[in-house]
Amino acid sequence: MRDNSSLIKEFILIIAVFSGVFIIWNFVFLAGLIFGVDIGENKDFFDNFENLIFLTALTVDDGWSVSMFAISESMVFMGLYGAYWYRRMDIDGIYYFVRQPSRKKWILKTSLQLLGITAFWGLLQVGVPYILSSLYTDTDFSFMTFLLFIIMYLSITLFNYFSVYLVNIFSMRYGTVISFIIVYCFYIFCFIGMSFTKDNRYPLAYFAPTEVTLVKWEDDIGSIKAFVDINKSTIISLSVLAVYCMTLIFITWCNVDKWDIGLKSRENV
Amino acid sequence: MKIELIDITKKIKNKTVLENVDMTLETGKIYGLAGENGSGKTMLMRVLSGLIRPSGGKIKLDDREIHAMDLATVKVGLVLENTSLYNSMTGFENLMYLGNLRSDIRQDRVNEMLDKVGLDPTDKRKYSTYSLGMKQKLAIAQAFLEYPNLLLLDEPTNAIDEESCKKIRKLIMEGREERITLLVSHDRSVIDDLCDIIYTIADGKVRLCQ
Repeated sequence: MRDNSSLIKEFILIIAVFSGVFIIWNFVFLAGLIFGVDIGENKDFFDNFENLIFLTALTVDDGWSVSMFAISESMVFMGLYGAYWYRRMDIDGIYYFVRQPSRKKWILKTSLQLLGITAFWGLLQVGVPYILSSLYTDTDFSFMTFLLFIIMYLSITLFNYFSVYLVNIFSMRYGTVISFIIVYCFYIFCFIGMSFTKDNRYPLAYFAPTEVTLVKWEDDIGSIKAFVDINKSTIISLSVLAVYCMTLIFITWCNVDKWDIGLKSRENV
Repeated sequence: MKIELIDITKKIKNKTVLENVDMTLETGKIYGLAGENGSGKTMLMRVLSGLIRPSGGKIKLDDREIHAMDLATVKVGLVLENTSLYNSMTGFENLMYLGNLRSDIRQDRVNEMLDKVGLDPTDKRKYSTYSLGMKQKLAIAQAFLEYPNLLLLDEPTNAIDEESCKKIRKLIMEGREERITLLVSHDRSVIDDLCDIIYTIADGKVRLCQ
């Protein structure tokens, strides 16, 4: 039977391989976005990036550098999902929407679908490593911490995914410039928030108006630990996210019946 | 069922693409709409299918005024020019997917429709590899799939060989008494052969011809 240290090494190796694959993927993806991907006349998947707005939450490394387009593994997912909806609304939408008697119901259904995917993604990204680290390291497993960790991650990713999903829908209706302004105004607010928090560890911390540690992910030699500290600022932070998501859903809900399906965004203004 | 378009106007970026359109469509009749390229035929089809909101005018369904988007509640079968289905799916998968969005379509029906338009239901090729004619046939199959109450066909015989054209014409005539059919074509002979009432459209203005 292998001892704990070899299991930890194996675990770290698996994580490293996964991270490596994701990083390569992300670079290819980003290069495609920056330089444009042209695969001839085939009106297929990559053509859809032409008008796609691509977002990710502010991500900060251990220093104080901030990148609006930080590369993260969730970026791939957001890109794919954003492209999927762009395609649904703008390219393949004709035969799909002619079969949707209620667009409002469709918005609700897709929002729930998005929530489900995010929950699954969150579990995969955070839940599994946390359980593994509890099993193979000296970290005590706490169900409550695990649950809070999932909820926290869910909120962050949901914020990302909803931004991508809805902003892409906005871009089809109002054009990319206005959509960028809507989202980046909010991001600038978050950035200002960050200067008060002094905590650059995780994007959610930016939303907190006072200094607070929400989630800390520490990877000291072979050990992954999660600390969740719930206090007044946590509630405020999550409320900001909830209000943001709900506002986007509400705006979409109110406008979805006014949108012309199947016209290009430039015609749709 | 009776659909009335009253004074319908559609503007895109201040350009009027449909102007004061008045039309009445009733179940059992085949309507023809003839016009040059860019005259507004496809835009009118989009309005009738509930995909596009007109800038002005009224729409009535059985003498009751409705929101333009409510036309999607009428079971619409639609074929539009230059629109694609899902590239990564086969013809059969495309029809199964679309047919189950609002109805409960069984495999038998999908196979029947593919057969009727001259496509092989067992063909495993993806839609992306289809020829233009095959794509058109599949678009027609999806329009007829769910026994629509309002059938809107925009240039249905484009890119289709003579033999298949006959099949499509037969399909249009079958069950015509149970639905409204609107056939759009720039080929006047197709319209003259099949339609009971003919409209013409030019610069977004529609006129009753016959």
